[in-house]
Amino acid sequence: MTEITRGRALLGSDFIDIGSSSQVVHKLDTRVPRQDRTAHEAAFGVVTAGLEPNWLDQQVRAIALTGRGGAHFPVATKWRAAQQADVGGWTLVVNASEGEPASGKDAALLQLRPHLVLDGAELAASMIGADRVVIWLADEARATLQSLRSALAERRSGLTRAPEIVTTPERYLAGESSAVIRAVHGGPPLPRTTMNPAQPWAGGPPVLVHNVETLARLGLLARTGSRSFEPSSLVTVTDGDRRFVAEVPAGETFSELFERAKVPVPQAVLLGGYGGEWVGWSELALLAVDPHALKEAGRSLGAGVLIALGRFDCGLEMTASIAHWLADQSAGQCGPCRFGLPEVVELVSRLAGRRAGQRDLDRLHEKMALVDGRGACRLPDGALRMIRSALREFAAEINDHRYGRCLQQEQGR
Amino acid sequence: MRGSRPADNLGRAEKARLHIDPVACDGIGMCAHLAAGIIHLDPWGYPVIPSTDLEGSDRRAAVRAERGCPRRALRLSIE
Repeated sequence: MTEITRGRALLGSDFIDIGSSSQVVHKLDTRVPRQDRTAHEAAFGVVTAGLEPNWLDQQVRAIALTGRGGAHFPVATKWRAAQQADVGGWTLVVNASEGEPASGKDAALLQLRPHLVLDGAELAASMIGADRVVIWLADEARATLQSLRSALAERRSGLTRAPEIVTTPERYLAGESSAVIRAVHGGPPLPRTTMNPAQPWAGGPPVLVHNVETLARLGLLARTGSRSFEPSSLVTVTDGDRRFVAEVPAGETFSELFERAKVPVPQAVLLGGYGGEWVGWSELALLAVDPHALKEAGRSLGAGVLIALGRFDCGLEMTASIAHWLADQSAGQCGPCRFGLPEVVELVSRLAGRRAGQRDLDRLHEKMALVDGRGACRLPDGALRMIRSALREFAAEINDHRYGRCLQQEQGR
Repeated sequence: MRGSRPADNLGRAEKARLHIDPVACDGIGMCAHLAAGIIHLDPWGYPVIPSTDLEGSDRRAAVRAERGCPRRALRLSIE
Protein backbone atom coordinates (compact mmCIF):
# COMPACT_ATOMS: atom_id res chain seq x y z
CA MET A 1 0.00 0.00 0.00
CA THR A 2 1.25 3.45 -0.82
CA GLU A 3 1.45 5.76 2.11
CA ILE A 4 1.85 9.46 2.12
CA THR A 5 5.09 10.63 3.64
CA ARG A 6 4.87 12.03 7.14
CA GLY A 7 4.80 15.79 7.09
CA ARG A 8 3.16 15.70 3.69
CA ALA A 9 -0.07 14.03 4.70
CA LEU A 10 -3.07 15.98 5.91
CA LEU A 11 -4.29 13.29 8.28
CA GLY A 12 -2.23 10.20 7.47
CA SER A 13 -3.25 6.63 6.79
CA ASP A 14 -5.49 6.05 9.81
CA PHE A 15 -9.26 5.92 9.56
CA ILE A 16 -10.80 8.59 11.72
CA ASP A 17 -14.15 7.68 13.19
CA ILE A 18 -16.71 10.45 13.30
CA GLY A 19 -19.49 10.48 15.85
CA SER A 20 -22.52 12.67 16.33
CA SER A 21 -22.14 16.45 15.95
CA SER A 22 -19.16 15.60 13.72
CA GLN A 23 -16.98 14.87 16.72
CA VAL A 24 -13.85 12.83 16.12
CA VAL A 25 -14.09 9.60 18.11
CA HIS A 26 -10.73 8.64 19.54
CA LYS A 27 -10.11 4.94 19.73
CA LEU A 28 -7.20 3.28 21.43
CA ASP A 29 -5.86 1.60 18.29
CA THR A 30 -6.37 4.47 15.85
CA ARG A 31 -5.58 7.53 17.82
CA VAL A 32 -4.71 10.49 15.64
CA PRO A 33 -3.86 13.20 18.16
CA ARG A 34 -4.76 16.83 17.76
CA GLN A 35 -1.75 18.87 16.76
CA ASP A 36 -1.25 21.94 18.88
CA ARG A 37 0.98 24.63 17.49
CA THR A 38 4.21 23.04 18.71
CA ALA A 39 3.33 19.62 17.32
CA HIS A 40 2.16 21.24 14.10
CA GLU A 41 5.43 23.05 13.57
CA ALA A 42 7.39 19.93 14.47
CA ALA A 43 5.49 17.92 11.86
CA PHE A 44 5.28 20.44 9.03
CA GLY A 45 7.84 23.14 9.80
CA VAL A 46 7.11 26.85 9.66
CA VAL A 47 5.77 28.68 6.63
CA THR A 48 8.57 30.93 5.46
CA ALA A 49 7.78 34.49 6.39
CA GLY A 50 7.63 36.74 3.37
CA LEU A 51 6.83 33.86 1.06
CA GLU A 52 6.63 35.06 -2.54
CA PRO A 53 2.98 35.45 -3.63
CA ASN A 54 3.99 34.68 -7.23
CA TRP A 55 5.67 31.49 -6.14
CA LEU A 56 2.60 30.31 -4.21
CA ASP A 57 0.35 31.18 -7.14
CA GLN A 58 2.57 29.07 -9.42
CA GLN A 59 2.48 26.12 -7.02
CA VAL A 60 -1.32 26.31 -6.79
CA ARG A 61 -1.51 26.23 -10.58
CA ALA A 62 1.04 23.44 -10.87
CA ILE A 63 -0.98 21.06 -8.70
CA ALA A 64 -4.30 22.43 -10.09
CA LEU A 65 -5.65 23.01 -6.58
CA THR A 66 -9.43 23.11 -6.65
CA GLY A 67 -12.11 23.87 -4.07
CA ARG A 68 -12.88 20.86 -1.91
CA GLY A 69 -16.26 22.05 -0.71
CA GLY A 70 -17.74 20.17 -3.65
CA ALA A 71 -17.58 22.44 -6.68
CA HIS A 72 -13.86 21.84 -7.44
CA PHE A 73 -13.43 25.33 -8.83
CA PRO A 74 -9.77 26.24 -9.47
CA VAL A 75 -8.33 28.25 -6.58
CA ALA A 76 -6.01 30.23 -8.87
CA THR A 77 -8.98 31.41 -10.95
CA LYS A 78 -10.78 32.61 -7.80
CA TRP A 79 -7.72 34.55 -6.70
CA ARG A 80 -7.22 36.09 -10.10
CA ALA A 81 -10.84 37.29 -10.22
CA ALA A 82 -10.38 38.83 -6.78
CA GLN A 83 -7.12 40.52 -7.73
CA GLN A 84 -8.60 41.89 -10.94
CA ALA A 85 -11.75 43.20 -9.26
CA ASP A 86 -9.64 46.11 -8.03
CA VAL A 87 -11.54 46.67 -4.77
CA GLY A 88 -10.28 46.78 -1.21
CA GLY A 89 -11.53 45.66 2.19
CA TRP A 90 -11.63 41.95 1.44
CA THR A 91 -12.94 39.36 3.86
CA LEU A 92 -11.68 35.80 3.57
CA VAL A 93 -14.16 33.23 4.82
CA VAL A 94 -13.02 29.83 6.03
CA ASN A 95 -16.13 27.82 5.24
CA ALA A 96 -16.26 25.21 7.97
CA SER A 97 -20.03 24.79 8.03
CA GLU A 98 -19.87 21.43 6.26
CA GLY A 99 -23.60 21.41 5.54
CA GLU A 100 -23.39 18.01 3.78
CA PRO A 101 -24.85 15.84 6.52
CA ALA A 102 -22.67 12.82 5.76
CA SER A 103 -19.44 14.79 5.52
CA GLY A 104 -17.01 14.96 8.41
CA LYS A 105 -13.65 15.65 6.78
CA ASP A 106 -13.59 19.37 7.52
CA ALA A 107 -14.53 18.74 11.14
CA ALA A 108 -11.74 16.15 11.35
CA LEU A 109 -9.21 18.61 9.93
CA LEU A 110 -10.23 21.36 12.33
CA GLN A 111 -10.20 19.04 15.31
CA LEU A 112 -6.87 17.39 14.48
CA ARG A 113 -4.94 19.82 12.21
CA PRO A 114 -6.37 23.25 13.05
CA HIS A 115 -3.08 25.06 12.45
CA LEU A 116 -2.68 23.71 8.95
CA VAL A 117 -6.09 25.18 8.08
CA LEU A 118 -5.30 28.48 9.79
CA ASP A 119 -1.94 28.69 7.97
CA GLY A 120 -3.81 28.22 4.71
CA ALA A 121 -6.31 30.90 5.68
CA GLU A 122 -3.52 33.40 6.41
CA LEU A 123 -1.85 32.60 3.09
CA ALA A 124 -5.08 32.97 1.09
CA ALA A 125 -5.86 36.20 2.92
CA SER A 126 -2.48 37.62 1.98
CA MET A 127 -2.91 36.52 -1.65
CA ILE A 128 -6.05 38.63 -2.08
CA GLY A 129 -5.11 41.34 0.43
CA ALA A 130 -7.90 40.45 2.88
CA ASP A 131 -7.72 42.28 6.18
CA ARG A 132 -10.42 40.21 7.80
CA VAL A 133 -10.71 36.45 8.25
CA VAL A 134 -14.02 34.91 9.29
CA ILE A 135 -14.37 31.25 10.24
CA TRP A 136 -17.92 30.18 9.48
CA LEU A 137 -19.30 27.09 11.18
CA ALA A 138 -22.39 25.47 12.63
CA ASP A 139 -23.09 26.27 16.27
CA GLU A 140 -23.65 22.58 17.02
CA ALA A 141 -20.10 21.63 16.02
CA ARG A 142 -18.86 21.95 19.59
CA ALA A 143 -15.71 19.83 19.34
CA THR A 144 -14.62 21.74 16.24
CA LEU A 145 -15.35 25.05 17.91
CA GLN A 146 -13.31 24.11 20.94
CA SER A 147 -10.33 23.02 18.87
CA LEU A 148 -10.49 26.22 16.85
CA ARG A 149 -10.65 28.44 19.93
CA SER A 150 -7.62 26.70 21.43
CA ALA A 151 -5.76 26.99 18.14
CA LEU A 152 -6.45 30.71 17.88
CA ALA A 153 -5.21 31.17 21.45
CA GLU A 154 -2.06 29.14 20.71
CA ARG A 155 -1.11 31.31 17.75
CA ARG A 156 -2.10 34.73 19.08
CA SER A 157 1.03 36.52 17.94
CA GLY A 158 2.00 38.15 14.66
CA LEU A 159 -1.44 38.67 13.19
CA THR A 160 -2.71 42.21 12.93
CA ARG A 161 -6.28 41.08 13.38
CA ALA A 162 -7.22 37.69 14.79
CA PRO A 163 -9.66 35.58 12.78
CA GLU A 164 -13.26 35.84 13.98
CA ILE A 165 -15.42 32.80 14.59
CA VAL A 166 -19.00 33.24 13.41
CA THR A 167 -21.52 30.47 14.02
CA THR A 168 -24.78 29.67 12.28
CA PRO A 169 -27.59 27.23 13.00
CA GLU A 170 -26.87 23.88 11.39
CA ARG A 171 -28.52 23.78 7.98
CA TYR A 172 -27.73 22.23 4.62
CA LEU A 173 -27.75 25.60 2.88
CA ALA A 174 -25.70 27.47 5.49
CA GLY A 175 -22.54 26.42 3.67
CA GLU A 176 -23.69 27.48 0.21
CA SER A 177 -21.26 30.22 -0.75
CA SER A 178 -23.84 32.86 -1.70
CA ALA A 179 -25.51 32.21 1.67
CA VAL A 180 -22.17 32.64 3.43
CA ILE A 181 -21.55 35.92 1.61
CA ARG A 182 -25.04 37.14 2.42
CA ALA A 183 -24.47 36.36 6.11
CA VAL A 184 -21.08 38.12 6.15
CA HIS A 185 -22.92 41.14 4.70
CA GLY A 186 -25.23 41.05 7.71
CA GLY A 187 -28.16 39.25 6.09
CA PRO A 188 -29.70 35.84 6.73
CA PRO A 189 -27.58 32.77 5.87
CA LEU A 190 -29.69 31.91 2.82
CA PRO A 191 -28.65 31.59 -0.82
CA ARG A 192 -29.29 34.44 -3.17
CA THR A 193 -29.24 34.86 -6.89
CA THR A 194 -25.84 35.90 -8.16
CA MET A 195 -26.68 38.12 -11.09
CA ASN A 196 -22.99 38.67 -11.79
CA PRO A 197 -21.08 35.39 -11.33
CA ALA A 198 -17.75 37.21 -11.63
CA GLN A 199 -18.59 39.27 -8.52
CA PRO A 200 -20.63 36.99 -6.26
CA TRP A 201 -20.22 39.44 -3.37
CA ALA A 202 -21.84 42.33 -5.29
CA GLY A 203 -24.01 44.52 -3.09
CA GLY A 204 -21.63 44.53 -0.12
CA PRO A 205 -17.94 44.42 0.74
CA PRO A 206 -15.95 41.83 -1.26
CA VAL A 207 -15.84 38.33 0.19
CA LEU A 208 -13.92 35.23 -0.89
CA VAL A 209 -15.01 31.85 0.44
CA HIS A 210 -12.66 28.88 0.73
CA ASN A 211 -13.43 25.43 2.07
CA VAL A 212 -11.47 24.08 5.07
CA GLU A 213 -9.77 21.24 3.20
CA THR A 214 -8.76 23.57 0.38
CA LEU A 215 -6.99 25.78 2.91
CA ALA A 216 -5.32 22.84 4.67
CA ARG A 217 -3.92 21.77 1.30
CA LEU A 218 -2.69 25.30 0.73
CA GLY A 219 -0.97 25.25 4.13
CA LEU A 220 0.77 22.03 3.13
CA LEU A 221 1.66 23.19 -0.37
CA ALA A 222 3.33 26.32 1.02
CA ARG A 223 5.82 23.97 2.72
CA THR A 224 6.37 21.29 0.12
CA GLY A 225 6.02 23.22 -3.13
CA SER A 226 4.37 21.49 -6.06
CA ARG A 227 7.28 19.09 -6.69
CA SER A 228 7.16 17.42 -3.30
CA PHE A 229 3.42 17.77 -2.85
CA GLU A 230 1.78 14.37 -2.54
CA PRO A 231 -1.75 14.56 -3.86
CA SER A 232 -4.42 12.78 -1.87
CA SER A 233 -8.16 13.00 -1.35
CA LEU A 234 -10.08 13.29 1.86
CA VAL A 235 -13.31 11.33 1.90
CA THR A 236 -15.99 10.62 4.45
CA VAL A 237 -17.32 7.09 4.13
CA THR A 238 -20.69 6.12 5.57
CA ASP A 239 -21.35 2.39 5.86
CA GLY A 240 -24.44 1.64 7.92
CA ASP A 241 -23.78 2.95 11.43
CA ARG A 242 -20.11 3.56 10.81
CA ARG A 243 -18.79 6.85 9.50
CA PHE A 244 -15.11 7.63 9.06
CA VAL A 245 -12.76 10.02 7.34
CA ALA A 246 -9.90 8.65 5.24
CA GLU A 247 -7.02 10.25 3.41
CA VAL A 248 -6.69 8.37 0.15
CA PRO A 249 -3.28 8.37 -1.56
CA ALA A 250 -3.23 9.21 -5.27
CA GLY A 251 -4.15 6.28 -7.47
CA GLU A 252 -5.89 4.21 -4.82
CA THR A 253 -9.16 2.80 -6.18
CA PHE A 254 -12.50 2.63 -4.43
CA SER A 255 -12.11 -1.11 -4.23
CA GLU A 256 -8.72 -0.83 -2.53
CA LEU A 257 -9.99 1.82 -0.13
CA PHE A 258 -13.04 -0.22 0.88
CA GLU A 259 -10.93 -3.31 1.36
CA ARG A 260 -8.37 -1.46 3.46
CA ALA A 261 -11.17 0.03 5.57
CA LYS A 262 -12.98 -3.32 5.83
CA VAL A 263 -16.17 -1.95 4.29
CA PRO A 264 -18.24 -4.80 2.83
CA VAL A 265 -18.70 -4.69 -0.95
CA PRO A 266 -21.72 -2.43 -1.55
CA GLN A 267 -24.34 -2.49 -4.34
CA ALA A 268 -23.75 1.13 -5.19
CA VAL A 269 -22.28 4.28 -3.66
CA LEU A 270 -23.85 7.70 -3.42
CA LEU A 271 -20.89 9.72 -4.63
CA GLY A 272 -20.33 13.39 -3.77
CA GLY A 273 -23.04 14.10 -1.24
CA TYR A 274 -26.82 14.18 -0.94
CA GLY A 275 -26.96 16.07 -4.22
CA GLY A 276 -24.49 13.68 -5.84
CA GLU A 277 -24.96 10.55 -7.94
CA TRP A 278 -25.55 6.88 -7.28
CA VAL A 279 -22.85 4.89 -9.01
CA GLY A 280 -22.98 1.11 -9.27
CA TRP A 281 -20.11 -0.70 -7.60
CA SER A 282 -19.10 -2.47 -10.82
CA GLU A 283 -18.38 0.91 -12.39
CA LEU A 284 -16.86 2.53 -9.32
CA ALA A 285 -14.69 -0.26 -7.91
CA LEU A 286 -11.74 0.20 -10.25
CA LEU A 287 -11.84 3.99 -10.51
CA ALA A 288 -9.33 6.03 -8.53
CA VAL A 289 -10.64 8.08 -5.60
CA ASP A 290 -9.40 11.30 -7.12
CA PRO A 291 -11.32 14.40 -8.30
CA HIS A 292 -9.39 14.65 -11.57
CA ALA A 293 -9.67 10.95 -12.44
CA LEU A 294 -13.37 10.95 -11.60
CA LYS A 295 -13.95 14.01 -13.73
CA GLU A 296 -12.40 12.18 -16.67
CA ALA A 297 -14.80 9.32 -16.02
CA GLY A 298 -17.70 11.78 -16.10
CA ARG A 299 -18.20 11.62 -12.33
CA SER A 300 -17.62 14.03 -9.47
CA LEU A 301 -16.14 13.45 -6.04
CA GLY A 302 -18.14 16.48 -4.87
CA ALA A 303 -17.53 17.07 -1.18
CA GLY A 304 -15.81 13.68 -0.86
CA VAL A 305 -18.89 11.97 0.55
CA LEU A 306 -19.22 8.23 -0.09
CA ILE A 307 -22.40 6.58 1.16
CA ALA A 308 -22.28 2.82 0.71
CA LEU A 309 -25.54 1.11 -0.14
CA GLY A 310 -25.42 -2.29 1.55
CA ARG A 311 -26.08 -5.51 -0.35
CA PHE A 312 -29.59 -5.85 1.06
CA ASP A 313 -30.61 -2.19 1.26
CA CYS A 314 -33.16 -0.72 -1.12
CA GLY A 315 -31.63 2.11 -3.14
CA LEU A 316 -35.05 3.54 -3.95
CA GLU A 317 -35.97 3.85 -0.30
CA MET A 318 -32.66 5.51 0.45
CA THR A 319 -33.21 7.86 -2.48
CA ALA A 320 -36.69 8.78 -1.30
CA SER A 321 -35.47 9.53 2.25
CA ILE A 322 -32.62 11.71 1.04
CA ALA A 323 -34.82 13.52 -1.48
CA HIS A 324 -37.35 14.17 1.26
CA TRP A 325 -34.63 15.53 3.53
CA LEU A 326 -33.34 17.82 0.79
CA ALA A 327 -36.80 19.21 0.03
CA ASP A 328 -37.18 19.90 3.76
CA GLN A 329 -33.91 21.83 3.72
CA SER A 330 -35.11 24.13 0.95
CA ALA A 331 -35.09 27.74 2.04
CA GLY A 332 -38.42 28.09 0.25
CA GLN A 333 -37.25 31.22 -1.51
CA CYS A 334 -37.79 30.09 -5.11
CA GLY A 335 -41.20 28.92 -6.33
CA PRO A 336 -40.14 25.86 -8.36
CA CYS A 337 -38.13 24.48 -5.43
CA ARG A 338 -40.75 25.38 -2.84
CA PHE A 339 -43.73 23.92 -4.69
CA GLY A 340 -42.25 21.66 -7.35
CA LEU A 341 -39.65 19.74 -5.37
CA PRO A 342 -42.18 18.36 -2.81
CA GLU A 343 -44.24 17.01 -5.72
CA VAL A 344 -41.15 15.35 -7.17
CA VAL A 345 -40.35 13.88 -3.76
CA GLU A 346 -43.91 12.57 -3.35
CA LEU A 347 -43.59 10.70 -6.65
CA VAL A 348 -40.22 9.25 -5.65
CA SER A 349 -41.76 8.10 -2.36
CA ARG A 350 -44.55 6.36 -4.28
CA LEU A 351 -41.92 4.63 -6.35
CA ALA A 352 -40.03 3.51 -3.26
CA GLY A 353 -43.23 2.48 -1.53
CA ARG A 354 -44.27 0.24 -4.45
CA ARG A 355 -47.30 2.41 -5.14
CA ALA A 356 -46.21 3.89 -8.48
CA GLY A 357 -47.22 2.95 -12.00
CA GLN A 358 -45.91 4.01 -15.39
CA ARG A 359 -48.00 7.19 -15.27
CA ASP A 360 -46.32 8.25 -12.03
CA LEU A 361 -42.94 7.62 -13.57
CA ASP A 362 -43.86 9.80 -16.56
CA ARG A 363 -45.15 12.53 -14.27
CA LEU A 364 -41.94 12.32 -12.26
CA HIS A 365 -39.86 13.04 -15.38
CA GLU A 366 -42.16 15.93 -16.35
CA LYS A 367 -41.99 17.56 -12.91
CA MET A 368 -38.24 17.14 -12.73
CA ALA A 369 -37.85 18.92 -16.07
CA LEU A 370 -39.96 21.78 -14.68
CA VAL A 371 -37.86 22.23 -11.53
CA ASP A 372 -34.45 21.77 -13.15
CA GLY A 373 -32.16 24.82 -13.14
CA ARG A 374 -34.76 27.19 -11.76
CA GLY A 375 -33.52 27.82 -8.24
CA ALA A 376 -31.09 30.46 -7.00
CA CYS A 377 -28.86 27.76 -5.52
CA ARG A 378 -28.08 24.20 -6.51
CA LEU A 379 -30.24 22.45 -3.92
CA PRO A 380 -33.06 21.51 -6.32
CA ASP A 381 -30.64 20.60 -9.11
CA GLY A 382 -28.66 18.41 -6.71
CA ALA A 383 -31.82 16.63 -5.56
CA LEU A 384 -32.77 16.01 -9.20
CA ARG A 385 -29.28 14.77 -10.06
CA MET A 386 -29.45 12.29 -7.20
CA ILE A 387 -32.97 11.13 -8.16
CA ARG A 388 -32.11 10.78 -11.85
CA SER A 389 -29.04 8.72 -11.03
CA ALA A 390 -31.25 6.46 -8.89
CA LEU A 391 -33.68 5.99 -11.78
CA ARG A 392 -30.73 4.88 -13.94
CA GLU A 393 -28.91 2.82 -11.36
CA PHE A 394 -31.92 1.09 -9.84
CA ALA A 395 -33.92 0.60 -13.05
CA ALA A 396 -34.37 -3.12 -12.36
CA GLU A 397 -35.61 -2.39 -8.83
CA ILE A 398 -38.10 0.13 -10.21
CA ASN A 399 -39.56 -2.61 -12.34
CA ASP A 400 -39.83 -4.97 -9.37
CA HIS A 401 -41.37 -2.26 -7.24
CA ARG A 402 -44.03 -1.72 -9.85
CA TYR A 403 -45.15 -5.29 -9.26
CA GLY A 404 -45.10 -4.72 -5.53
CA ARG A 405 -41.81 -6.48 -4.90
CA CYS A 406 -38.45 -5.45 -3.55
CA LEU A 407 -35.88 -8.11 -4.27
CA GLN A 408 -33.17 -6.48 -2.20
CA GLN A 409 -35.22 -6.65 0.94
CA GLU A 410 -36.60 -10.12 0.20
CA GLN A 411 -33.07 -11.47 -0.21
CA GLY A 412 -31.93 -9.80 2.98
CA ARG A 413 -34.61 -11.50 5.00
CA MET B 1 -26.19 56.41 -34.94
CA ARG B 2 -26.03 54.49 -31.66
CA GLY B 3 -27.43 57.27 -29.53
CA SER B 4 -30.32 57.98 -31.85
CA ARG B 5 -31.90 54.59 -31.50
CA PRO B 6 -34.90 54.20 -29.17
CA ALA B 7 -34.06 52.30 -25.99
CA ASP B 8 -36.36 49.38 -26.80
CA ASN B 9 -34.68 48.72 -30.09
CA LEU B 10 -31.00 48.64 -29.21
CA GLY B 11 -28.29 47.17 -31.43
CA ARG B 12 -29.31 44.12 -33.47
CA ALA B 13 -25.84 42.64 -33.41
CA GLU B 14 -25.91 42.41 -29.62
CA LYS B 15 -27.36 39.42 -27.87
CA ALA B 16 -30.28 39.98 -25.55
CA ARG B 17 -31.14 37.40 -22.95
CA LEU B 18 -33.68 37.40 -20.17
CA HIS B 19 -32.63 36.47 -16.62
CA ILE B 20 -34.71 35.87 -13.54
CA ASP B 21 -33.92 36.27 -9.88
CA PRO B 22 -35.99 33.35 -8.56
CA VAL B 23 -35.61 34.59 -4.98
CA ALA B 24 -37.21 37.94 -5.83
CA CYS B 25 -39.93 36.36 -8.00
CA ASP B 26 -43.22 35.85 -6.14
CA GLY B 27 -45.11 34.26 -8.99
CA ILE B 28 -47.37 37.26 -9.51
CA GLY B 29 -47.47 36.32 -13.18
CA MET B 30 -47.49 39.80 -14.71
CA CYS B 31 -44.64 38.85 -17.04
CA ALA B 32 -46.68 36.10 -18.65
CA HIS B 33 -49.24 38.75 -19.65
CA LEU B 34 -46.69 41.30 -20.81
CA ALA B 35 -44.61 38.80 -22.78
CA ALA B 36 -47.20 36.12 -23.53
CA GLY B 37 -45.32 34.68 -26.48
CA ILE B 38 -42.06 34.01 -24.69
CA ILE B 39 -42.88 33.55 -20.99
CA HIS B 40 -45.32 30.96 -19.73
CA LEU B 41 -46.20 29.97 -16.19
CA ASP B 42 -45.41 26.57 -14.69
CA PRO B 43 -48.10 24.56 -12.83
CA TRP B 44 -47.25 26.47 -9.65
CA GLY B 45 -47.62 29.90 -11.26
CA TYR B 46 -43.94 30.77 -11.67
CA PRO B 47 -42.56 32.02 -14.97
CA VAL B 48 -40.46 29.83 -17.24
CA ILE B 49 -37.96 32.11 -18.93
CA PRO B 50 -36.55 31.42 -22.41
CA SER B 51 -32.86 30.59 -22.39
CA THR B 52 -32.30 31.68 -26.00
CA ASP B 53 -31.19 35.00 -27.46
CA LEU B 54 -34.17 37.26 -28.06
CA GLU B 55 -34.75 39.28 -31.19
CA GLY B 56 -37.39 41.53 -32.71
CA SER B 57 -40.84 41.39 -31.15
CA ASP B 58 -39.70 38.78 -28.60
CA ARG B 59 -37.07 41.17 -27.42
CA ARG B 60 -39.56 44.03 -27.11
CA ALA B 61 -41.86 41.74 -25.15
CA ALA B 62 -38.98 40.88 -22.83
CA VAL B 63 -38.32 44.57 -22.23
CA ARG B 64 -42.00 45.07 -21.31
CA ALA B 65 -41.86 42.13 -18.90
CA GLU B 66 -38.64 43.42 -17.34
CA ARG B 67 -40.14 46.86 -16.77
CA GLY B 68 -43.50 45.58 -15.64
CA CYS B 69 -42.33 43.07 -13.03
CA PRO B 70 -43.65 44.32 -9.68
CA ARG B 71 -40.85 42.48 -7.86
CA ARG B 72 -38.11 43.68 -10.21
CA ALA B 73 -37.13 40.03 -10.67
CA LEU B 74 -36.38 40.16 -14.39
CA ARG B 75 -33.34 41.52 -16.11
CA LEU B 76 -32.54 41.71 -19.79
CA SER B 77 -28.82 41.38 -20.38
CA ILE B 78 -27.34 42.77 -23.55
CA GLU B 79 -23.94 41.59 -24.67
